[in-house]
Amino acid sequence: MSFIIGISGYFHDSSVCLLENGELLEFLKEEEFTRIKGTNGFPFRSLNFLVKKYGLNDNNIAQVIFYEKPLRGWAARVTYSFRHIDKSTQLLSHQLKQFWNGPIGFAKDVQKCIKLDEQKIGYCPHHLSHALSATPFVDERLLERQIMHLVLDGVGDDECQSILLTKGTKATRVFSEKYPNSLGLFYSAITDFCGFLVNEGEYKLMALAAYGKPVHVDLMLDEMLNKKGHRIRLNMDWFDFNHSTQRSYGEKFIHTFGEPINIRKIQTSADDDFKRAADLAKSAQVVVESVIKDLIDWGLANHTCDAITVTGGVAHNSLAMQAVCDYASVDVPVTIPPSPGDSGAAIGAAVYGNMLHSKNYITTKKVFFSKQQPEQNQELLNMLFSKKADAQHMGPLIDKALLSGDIICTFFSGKEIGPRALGNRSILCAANQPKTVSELNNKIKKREFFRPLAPIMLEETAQKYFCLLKNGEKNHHWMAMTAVASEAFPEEYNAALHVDKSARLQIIKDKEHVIFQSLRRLAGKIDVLINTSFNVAGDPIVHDIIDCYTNMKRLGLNKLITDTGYYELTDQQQGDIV
Amino acid sequence: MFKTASMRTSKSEDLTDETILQFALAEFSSAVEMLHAAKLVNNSKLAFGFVNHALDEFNHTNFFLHLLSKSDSSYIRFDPRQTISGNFVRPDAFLFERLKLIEFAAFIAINEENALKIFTSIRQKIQKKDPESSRDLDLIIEEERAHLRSIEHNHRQDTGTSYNFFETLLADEARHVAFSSKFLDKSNLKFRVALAKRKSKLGNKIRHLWASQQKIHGFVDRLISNLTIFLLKPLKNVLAFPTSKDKDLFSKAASRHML
Repeated sequence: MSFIIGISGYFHDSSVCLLENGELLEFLKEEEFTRIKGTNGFPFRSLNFLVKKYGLNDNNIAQVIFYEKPLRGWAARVTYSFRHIDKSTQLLSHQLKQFWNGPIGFAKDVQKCIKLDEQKIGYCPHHLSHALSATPFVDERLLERQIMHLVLDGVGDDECQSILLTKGTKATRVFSEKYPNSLGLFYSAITDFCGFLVNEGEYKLMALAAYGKPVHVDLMLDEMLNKKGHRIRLNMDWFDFNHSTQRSYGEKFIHTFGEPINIRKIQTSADDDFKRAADLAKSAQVVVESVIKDLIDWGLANHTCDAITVTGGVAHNSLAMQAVCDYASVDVPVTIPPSPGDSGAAIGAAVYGNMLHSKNYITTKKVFFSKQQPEQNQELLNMLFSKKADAQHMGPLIDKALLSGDIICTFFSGKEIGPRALGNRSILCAANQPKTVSELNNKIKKREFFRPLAPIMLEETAQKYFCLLKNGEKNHHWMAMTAVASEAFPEEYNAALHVDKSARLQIIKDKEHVIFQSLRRLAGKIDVLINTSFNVAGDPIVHDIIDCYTNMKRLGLNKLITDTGYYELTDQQQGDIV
Repeated sequence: MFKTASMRTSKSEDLTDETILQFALAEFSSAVEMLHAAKLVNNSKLAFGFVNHALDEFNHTNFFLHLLSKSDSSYIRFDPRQTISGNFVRPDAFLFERLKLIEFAAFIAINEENALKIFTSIRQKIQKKDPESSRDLDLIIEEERAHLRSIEHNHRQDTGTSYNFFETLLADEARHVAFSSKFLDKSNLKFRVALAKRKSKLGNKIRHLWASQQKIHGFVDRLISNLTIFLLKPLKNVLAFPTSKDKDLFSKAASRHML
């Protein structure tokens, strides 16, 4: 037995990936344990959980790989700050402190959880970790052929955008854009200015784009990014991320676009601030797509490839990923992995460890990992829930609930590895029940009115109702990109579409899955379900049955389906409150 | 709330947005701590109690977030990650992982009592800050009570007919103090309970003293950093970061290097 561990951490979305004999066994995010979304720092709890569950020790661990070169990343940023010391003293002070409690102490933090031979600890270049996080999801026949990996990041090590090539056991870097010339940090600055949290609210900015006009595109491309072909050179007069720990946009930004937008003002109404934010969002969206296309053009003009992968935080932008697949120059398969950001880079680090150890990639056809649900206390389960049907007999109850406009929570064995709920930890309802959908979006999840809900459907339904792109169809299995509704899209399901008629749809193909079977049985009555993550807004997705209970209580929901049956919340007497 | 926000914030004339944010973070971190205790404790009834306590704390978080939603500031934003960076939650271990059950209960009893005092002291400020929303809150409270607290009727102390949310919050805190004290009273280890309470009180004082010295910490931090920066400044122009020249990115030798 030989385990390889990949770890991401210290900046945002810490996570751990565990391989056993070259098979992807577990992927855990620290936020699931802490219940604090985007938990950064070293993932102590996730690693300790795995150590206990699998008896990990020096004898059965082959490699522990960190997802970046910690000294390179730190030194690159400190060197940059030193060169601009007149403005950067505050940030530099922050960076210097990070020397003691940041990723440079990775080996020491690993040793707190596992006593390990230090020779087994390694460091993978950050963008290689991103690129390799996609390889388990690429068609395995292509892994021996040349693959072009486009990495679009905020910053990792000292790189912001890069292109890497892999062919079997060879990996080379053919293009690299250095800090601070970052497409990701540009997008984060707009996110910050529009009132959303950096590294958290970017997907909301993307949703907002559908309401805006691309009126600032030229200004952004020419003035802010100084875009020349596939390269960008950020004009730092517009940005503060290089010298401030407080905000990403600079004074010039405020001078040009007005006061920073108060998120609370655009959450509920479409007033002037909303329009201002939407125009910025749309312009930034067009700019991001334009830079990506030019990078692809440069890559394809200089290198041949049989497949493309896109990773890094920017690859979370499912609208831009649709544009990549739709781009006329791209006629090879495109893979955007389920977790293309820093959290998923732990998978890439583990793949890197496997390459060092056995010269093999890993492949998987699964989208759910961690086979068993965390052990549950049966007595507590009975206190929290009342069982209405066993798993074998719950089908009719599920169908009845969906047909009558009820909302159902799911909690099945095996967890989604990306940020999207793919049915195992979801909240579901019928998409042709507009009142229920509206209640779910506005009252229960309390989402901003401009954010759409995502639909889940069978493959034949998706092919009938959406314009699917052949070279990227697989990405719809894990909601990595959007698609535009076709002419045939029925009006009764309009609640599943965004205002621009697009949707970040999920195609469910697993015939054993309860949702697949329900959609099969309900065909003609309900062809499309709404699928949103099982969490309270701003919290991580549920991790165990206690989270299911607290989230259901907070959301005001009461129906839960699991591997073992159909449950409803109980009206139990209270326990000892402490 | 049992990890109280810095006391100095509540001494100002008005309740600032920054103070409200601190209260929201404190309530949220308490919810997270209780949730974790529920997952670790080896007793179903206690776990159920912890879960319900966590639900109260989440609800209190919502109260402060509701107050915060009226803020005009675009810079004050609730980010759960601030519970870690703001030292409300430790990054490596939750309270329940570090304390014995008796110590944990004592910690809650002491801190809930403290929270009750703080909330009572800021009551007028809340009314002054947001008189209108207290009427809006009445409706929210009724809804919240209906679906969030239905299981608690048997044990809830009578809060009268007032639907004012802040009253409920105070009553919750009083109830948490009462329950944790009752729990401690059940213990036969009177000496250990007394010791745990004293330890908690002392720990609390040190923690609050530490928290109230943030300005001094900041000053010392800045002094050390600026001194380092000053000493290195002459090297500014010779600092050049080497470009990575790894030909083979899968090189085993290169994997050992942090640079």
